[in-house]
Amino acid sequence: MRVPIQRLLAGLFIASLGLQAAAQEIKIGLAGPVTGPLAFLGQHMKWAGELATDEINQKGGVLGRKLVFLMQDSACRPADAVAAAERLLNQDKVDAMLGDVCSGATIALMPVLEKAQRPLIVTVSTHPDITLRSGSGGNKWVFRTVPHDAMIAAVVAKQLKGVKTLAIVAEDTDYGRGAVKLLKERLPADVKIISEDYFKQTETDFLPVLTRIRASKPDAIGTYVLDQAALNLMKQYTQFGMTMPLVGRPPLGSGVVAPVVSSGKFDGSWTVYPYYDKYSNPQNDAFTKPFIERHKQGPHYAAYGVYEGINVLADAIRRAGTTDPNAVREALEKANYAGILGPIRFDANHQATSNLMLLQIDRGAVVVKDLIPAQ
Amino acid sequence: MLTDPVFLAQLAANGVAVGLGYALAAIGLALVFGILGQVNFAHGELYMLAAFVLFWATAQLGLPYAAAALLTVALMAGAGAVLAQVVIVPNLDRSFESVILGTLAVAVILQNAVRLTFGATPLDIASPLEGVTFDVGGVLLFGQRLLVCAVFVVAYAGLAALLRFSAIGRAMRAMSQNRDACVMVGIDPRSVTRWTGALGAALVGLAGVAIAPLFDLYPNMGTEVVFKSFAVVIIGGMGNVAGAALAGLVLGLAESFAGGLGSAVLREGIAFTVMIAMLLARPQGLFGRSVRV
Repeated sequence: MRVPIQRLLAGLFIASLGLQAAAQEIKIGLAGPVTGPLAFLGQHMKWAGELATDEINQKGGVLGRKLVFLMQDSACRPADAVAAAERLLNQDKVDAMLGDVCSGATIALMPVLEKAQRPLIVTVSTHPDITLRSGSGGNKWVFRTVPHDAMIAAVVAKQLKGVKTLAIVAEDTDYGRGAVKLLKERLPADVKIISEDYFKQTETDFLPVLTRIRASKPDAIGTYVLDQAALNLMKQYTQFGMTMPLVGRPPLGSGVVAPVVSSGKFDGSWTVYPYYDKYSNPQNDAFTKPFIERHKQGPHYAAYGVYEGINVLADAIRRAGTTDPNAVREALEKANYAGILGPIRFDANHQATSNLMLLQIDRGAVVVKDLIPAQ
Repeated sequence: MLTDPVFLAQLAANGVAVGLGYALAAIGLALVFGILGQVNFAHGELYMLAAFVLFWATAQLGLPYAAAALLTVALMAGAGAVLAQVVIVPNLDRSFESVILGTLAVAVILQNAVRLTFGATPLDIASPLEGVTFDVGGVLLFGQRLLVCAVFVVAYAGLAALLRFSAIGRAMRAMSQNRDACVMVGIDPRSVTRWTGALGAALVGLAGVAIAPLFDLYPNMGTEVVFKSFAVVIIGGMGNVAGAALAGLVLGLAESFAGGLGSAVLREGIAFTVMIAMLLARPQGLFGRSVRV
């Protein structure tokens, strides 16, 4: 079959237009849990990514180019996260990526991005190893905007002053076991840990351990579980009529546990978290208001992380004046972005230092007691 | 503390309540296996579906808990009949893998359909019994968990009566013994399959409506239930409903004491340790008959 040369040329021209349009978009990829038990957090991350890119595009994009946010499912598992990243990097040709929720998955992403030579902004995971291995620690492509568990453990340990006996309830993951280990290393000498219980992430039945803790009567329960397990734990805790405060890192600010928190049965419980959606300052209000308008619920910590991460990246690309990965990486190293909770600047290990929040329950309401610099 | 009778009694009470919940969740699976010889991998997703239907009926239709629960169980029976018609009936004459793959596909579809419909945000069902706690000599008994126990007793007795005294129950038992003979005496295996599917789904629906208000709802919640139910069914003797009931109870008690006297990690391994031990020592399970060669 003969194809007229004009038609062929026209076809080529149209195809090249498509290529040009694609080349003009700036793409940011995210590997996160769309399915699996943490799909709830992945959903918040997706919503935040869409909100951040929409806002930036409404103001004319970055370098006059449109920002595109792409999310691939990792189910929060290392192997799936790597597969998701490969797809984003090789098929979608993303210019930069954001890290996963689960530290294990994020750690698996690090060498992939190093090999592809694209920046990775870790916006949710809190395992200290990510920082140890980044920047001057080896992987110059990885940056983290949120405080890590060792920084948080230092603040928690300080807050535990006056507590004599502590029972630990933690999830049986890198996060739970790691955070408890870091806490133990920093614990004041007079705080005694009387029991340690580790649960699978999707645990629903806390009755046996609560029965034991109810009898052993510690001063406080050190809690290192995520939102959904916390809801089940707290429901069963109230049924037992227990009164010792939950301390450490219970997700007290999460919308998931809001109904049990408002019962007033957790007064005196406190937590150290990198974010709380109802904390009011002009920057945070500007983030939460459109988010709530779209999704009828406040942004989770995971959403906050992604929103900041995309803005930090957009800022770096703007200052670099190009999406050339090396230039963006160098711009990130010099970042001084005005974040929601304070300026985001990266140290030699590419770790940002920002404020941590001390949240306490007072008469059924979550109160921001203090903003503590994470160090 | 370890010899404190109130502490031990509390662990026993927790164990019975949790164990009867396991039993209630597993008897539908045991029934379908016992009658049809088919493994329903969508069992956990049927439980999840029941919980979300209950949420829809209470929170969105505004029905009271009891009415919503009845509606849910009725809808689940219908869903079970449809599942049997679509997945099991066409595969009656094929090898058992067909149904395993078919139900696995249904499980994936249900999980994602619920995620797309309700979203991934965890939901919570309010039940009038939630705040009810009885103090019996220092041992606390919780209202919703007592309801689970009561529902189990009623469901078990009802199932036993149905299988023994009703025409469809007799047909089900006949089919579990010899399908070819059923055809000869005029029992339609397709009809019995649909009834069994409906009954199995109604039972897991009952489990869903009774247990769901205790915990949060999310599209993956069935995965946990299906693994525990499989352990219970294997320990009890594949397809034996009474065995599954006893196995659930034993497992609940064992977990409660392991978690209370030992640690949470110890508790976690109990179900599968018992299951493996059972497979090694008595492969036919607690109540199963050994297979004659």
